[in-house]
Amino acid sequence: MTLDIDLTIPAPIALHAQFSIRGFTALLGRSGAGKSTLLRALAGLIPASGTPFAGVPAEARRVGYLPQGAALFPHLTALQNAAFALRGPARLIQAQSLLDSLGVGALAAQNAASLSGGEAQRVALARALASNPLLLLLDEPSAALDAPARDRVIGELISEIGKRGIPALASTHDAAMAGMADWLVVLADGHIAQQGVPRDLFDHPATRDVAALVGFTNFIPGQVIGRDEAGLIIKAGSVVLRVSGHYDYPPGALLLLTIRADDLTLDGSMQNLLSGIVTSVLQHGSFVRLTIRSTSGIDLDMLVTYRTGGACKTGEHVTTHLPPDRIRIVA
Amino acid sequence: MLRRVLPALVLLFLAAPFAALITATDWRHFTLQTGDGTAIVTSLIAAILALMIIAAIGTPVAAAMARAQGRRRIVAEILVLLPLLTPPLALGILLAIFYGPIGPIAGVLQHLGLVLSNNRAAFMLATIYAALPTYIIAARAALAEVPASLTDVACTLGQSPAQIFRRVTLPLARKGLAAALSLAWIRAIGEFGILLVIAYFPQGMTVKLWVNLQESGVAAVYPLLWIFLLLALPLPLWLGSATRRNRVM
Repeated sequence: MTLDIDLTIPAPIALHAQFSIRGFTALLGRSGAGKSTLLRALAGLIPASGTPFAGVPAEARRVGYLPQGAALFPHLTALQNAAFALRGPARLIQAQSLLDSLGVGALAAQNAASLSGGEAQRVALARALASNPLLLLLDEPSAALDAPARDRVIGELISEIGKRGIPALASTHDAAMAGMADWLVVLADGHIAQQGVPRDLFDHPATRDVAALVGFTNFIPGQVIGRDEAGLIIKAGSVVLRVSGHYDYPPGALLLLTIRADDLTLDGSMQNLLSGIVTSVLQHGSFVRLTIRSTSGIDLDMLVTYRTGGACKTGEHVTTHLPPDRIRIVA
Repeated sequence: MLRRVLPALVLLFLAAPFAALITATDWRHFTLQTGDGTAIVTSLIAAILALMIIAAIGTPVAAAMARAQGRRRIVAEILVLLPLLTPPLALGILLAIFYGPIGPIAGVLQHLGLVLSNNRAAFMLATIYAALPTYIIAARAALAEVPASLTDVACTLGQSPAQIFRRVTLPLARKGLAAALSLAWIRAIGEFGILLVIAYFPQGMTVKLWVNLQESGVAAVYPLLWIFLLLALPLPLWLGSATRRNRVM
């Protein structure tokens, strides 16, 4: 289930990508970062050098490729799509059993163009599985799905692929989907910025880009002014912040601190407090998103429950607590 | 009101001369002129052969143009548009200058046993040259409509370029390709200007219409024109209706 990748792609987006695919792997990156380019290069559809598949043409790679929107052949039925790569008299029976195993057997006779996003994806998966691929490539599998069904459909897709033991690489810009994968690879600035178990990347992003992609929204520049057994003491603007953890940064080092919007609190703690003025209040489902301009010149993005922050008004003075164990340091 | 009347008026404008053809034809003495039969056969065989050659050589060009980008696409487009835009009579002169018996490649052609002037080979050259650019432009538009993601998937499913063309591109572009074939047929069967210059003989239907007008007057044109319409019309009509049917391949 593990496949090591080392690819150099000259165009259309210059990339060098060295990473592992372990089980269902999510390739997270912004739009235009080159996720689709990397997938297409792995499929052999654009020129690239490196391993695996060096010099093997696309039609001989045994890679199952699911482009964005599933790309079923619209002139064929679901069954004919699933049987597309198969040969011999039993091809339709084989295709039907694949559709059955993915729970879309009843749709076999339907025209591909009439299927919903989730159904089309399953048929496309059946079509890709029919050729016994060594690797599955899924380009933005969550893009064509309606929001309410998305997590369920993606969850089922991951478990279907997991059952078959085929390594898969799925590109996405959606942190929620990335969090559901077995392994997470982040693509930024033409290279792999970080890879690991999603939980680790979500909790300890290595760079600002990774942090932003996994949902960190507050970035605070600071300078180390001291260190003790609890962690670092950092001056950020005109305030002093404590950051828990064991770090080797010497006094004077310039750092970038980051913290999630939902890790900030409005309670009255004794340290790591920033006072400021609420500059905007946005309803965010059952949460409230506050933008706070602190008196030390730092803007904070804060997500609190409606019960806690529902009463906040623009222009109001608030004191925000940054829990020392929730602050991360990124490169 | 205007939305209903206007299309009817436009169609009437198009059909009116043909109504005149019905009344002008001397139905009681409906006879073809000497040589009309040969002209009909000459034109039909040439147009059918030309259409097959055009589909065979024009489709790969159209497919390459549908995928091409940047300068290559613009150069190819100009090269196809030039013969499409040039008036047929002028095209005939250009063909005579280049491929004719006094042209720069006449020696090479003669070596191959080809003299492209007033013979069947010249007739074929004129017919193909007249209709090929029309086919390429229309077929390119049809082929460009087939999403690249579908041909990409087919490629990753182990299909060769020829299999992809047959199983994905062709069925998805068939309406547009049929329209391209129809247009090419219309250009091929109706070509006059180029033929007048490089293939006055063997006389095809269009040149014979001109000869009949010159030698026997306007009444001698009508019978051959009726035959021309009867023979030229079915193929585009059939191509249109065949591709309109919802066919699952």
